[in-house]
Amino acid sequence: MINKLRLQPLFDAMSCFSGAKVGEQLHTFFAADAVINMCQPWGQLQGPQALYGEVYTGLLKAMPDLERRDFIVMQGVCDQGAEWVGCAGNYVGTFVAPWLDIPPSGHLTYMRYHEFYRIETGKIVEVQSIWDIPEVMMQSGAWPMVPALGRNMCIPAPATQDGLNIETNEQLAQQSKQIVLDMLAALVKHPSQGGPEVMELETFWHKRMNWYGPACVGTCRGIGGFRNWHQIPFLAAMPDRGQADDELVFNFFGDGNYAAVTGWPNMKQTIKHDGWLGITPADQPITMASLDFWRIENDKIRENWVMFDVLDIYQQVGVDVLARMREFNKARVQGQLAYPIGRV
Amino acid sequence: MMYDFSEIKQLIRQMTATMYNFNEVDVRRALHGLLSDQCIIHMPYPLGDMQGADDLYNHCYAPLLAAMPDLERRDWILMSGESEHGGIWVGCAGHYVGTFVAPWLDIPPTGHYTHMRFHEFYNFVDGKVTEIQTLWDIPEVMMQAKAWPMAPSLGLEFYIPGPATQDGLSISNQDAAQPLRSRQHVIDMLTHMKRHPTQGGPEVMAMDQFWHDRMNWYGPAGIGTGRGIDGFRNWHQIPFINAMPDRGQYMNEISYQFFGEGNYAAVTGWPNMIQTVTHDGWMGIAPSGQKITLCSLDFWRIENGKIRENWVMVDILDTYRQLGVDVLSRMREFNKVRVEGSIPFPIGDR
Repeated sequence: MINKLRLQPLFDAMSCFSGAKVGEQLHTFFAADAVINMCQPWGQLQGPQALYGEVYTGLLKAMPDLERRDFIVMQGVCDQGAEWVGCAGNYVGTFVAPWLDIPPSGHLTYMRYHEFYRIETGKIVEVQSIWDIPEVMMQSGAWPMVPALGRNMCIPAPATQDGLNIETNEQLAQQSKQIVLDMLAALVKHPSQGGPEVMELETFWHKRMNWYGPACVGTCRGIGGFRNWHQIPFLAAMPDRGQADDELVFNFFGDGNYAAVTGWPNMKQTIKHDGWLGITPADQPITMASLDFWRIENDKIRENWVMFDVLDIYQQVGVDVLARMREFNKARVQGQLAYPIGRV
Repeated sequence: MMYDFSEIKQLIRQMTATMYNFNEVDVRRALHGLLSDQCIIHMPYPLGDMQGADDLYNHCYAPLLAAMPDLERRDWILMSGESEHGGIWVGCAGHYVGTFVAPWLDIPPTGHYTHMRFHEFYNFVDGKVTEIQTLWDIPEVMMQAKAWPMAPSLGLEFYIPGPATQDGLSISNQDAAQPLRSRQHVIDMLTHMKRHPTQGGPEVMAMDQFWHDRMNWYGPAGIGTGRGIDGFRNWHQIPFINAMPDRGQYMNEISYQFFGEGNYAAVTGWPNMIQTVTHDGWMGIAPSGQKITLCSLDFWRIENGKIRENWVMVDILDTYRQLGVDVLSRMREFNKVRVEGSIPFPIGDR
């Protein structure tokens, strides 16, 4: 049974998003008591009705021509024996009404998502989903925190344009997963067991690799880009990352030459030093859910889509980012735009 | 006998594959294999016209590779077909990407992942490319470097996506008539479109009949992207036609190469538009009654009989040149207060 094909009607209903069709498909595919782990500000919800009512309704109102564009859809069984379907893509639409108090841009607006669906006997029983809400805030000129070190842009689909047609090949899938696991085993040796060389980055990563981080970090190109714009500041602030992995659950799976991981949470570390996102260090313990996809080309990772919930991290260290955004909104004209926009 | 388009698409694929992991030796060899010695190459301003593989490499690719040492070509549309004039064409759309570390055309480097969209058309005669018509979105690079010295866009500037369906590299015909059907859909759309404004208001364009209501019009940097029919109208067409109401009136002075494949259609032509800047409204240009030519190199994706995505490129720098404005020279004025030079590559600490 191929889960990703079974779920296609749900994704199709979202590609020309209509409330009625999507509501119907959610009820078809979701168990009534499905556990839905959404990023902040929603947190955990239960069942398809809550997902539709509390999450999608607001987005559809803000973007009446809402469109889901998957660029990776993959499936697999993780080591724990659970069946997963993982999707990456962008929600796209004309942003005409405030959403989560983010002021509308009036233009095509994109928001990347990484969504993982756990399936039991043909029904979705759990969702782990992160939407890049800061990316929407940035497009509206409403990001109230520090700028990214990396590059902010509409994150592209795989360079090979094959993320929707991943070849079913169990041996290749296992191989892809193993490359990522081996890469991570070496990666977490640094800094506790040595300098950057212990990560053997050149062994695992293509030298023209792209690391597509969440909007708060940005995109990095090349091993140098990954180190400079993401990893060096990240580890400078939280040198204990990867030291509490025994307490965490990772759901890894491969599909063709792709691999993915989800876990809620799957990282635990302490903000001990300066350097990351400008956060004042005070030994704050934080957890993160990192929902990631890798594309492997000739045994090296050439593209890596990474998402974690930065609004949740700020919340854990006592900062309400959306509240700070609302302070700025005091000096912005409130309200929504007529849709369709303007004189046509 | 049907022309074997798969063969020429494969020739283009072999060339573009060398640019995905761009290195001089392989790219030069591939271009020499693909192009006839006398191949006429039309590149965007300021690169201009040239002839043959070495000119193309030396004048266009070598400086770009020097600016982006990890240069990578990413195609997301590859299509072929026979134009209404019998020309055999392959069209490609995608981006050149790389870490931008040294000035290019005097554009200061960003030090980051940088993208430049391309629309490229290759004319084949006897298995060789004899003419290339190419636009690269140079203003897009200038904007990423915060070096765009002209008016901001009305539309959205962003990293333009490939087809939402991700099927642009595997376009094929479902039946023998599909190429003509796709081409005809676009030609009919344009026939209606050109009736406005001379023959009536916006309603004569019958846009709902030809365009999907969630259409995306991906315009060149300087104009930007418009979403929906209203987005297209507001951010592109209304100002465009306000300034140049005679667009589409000089059809006998220009040539088009239209072709279709699968549910895609494309057009090239050098030039394929002539019009006069008679009024205010377009990109902040002072209207002076000057006639300009445009090369619009476009791709359309049709979904259930409606155009859902349209990638459009025109040479904005060349338009300004025709109107007497040297955009790159204005950019160099700003460069006087920017620190000159290159960034070491690889960048920073490892």
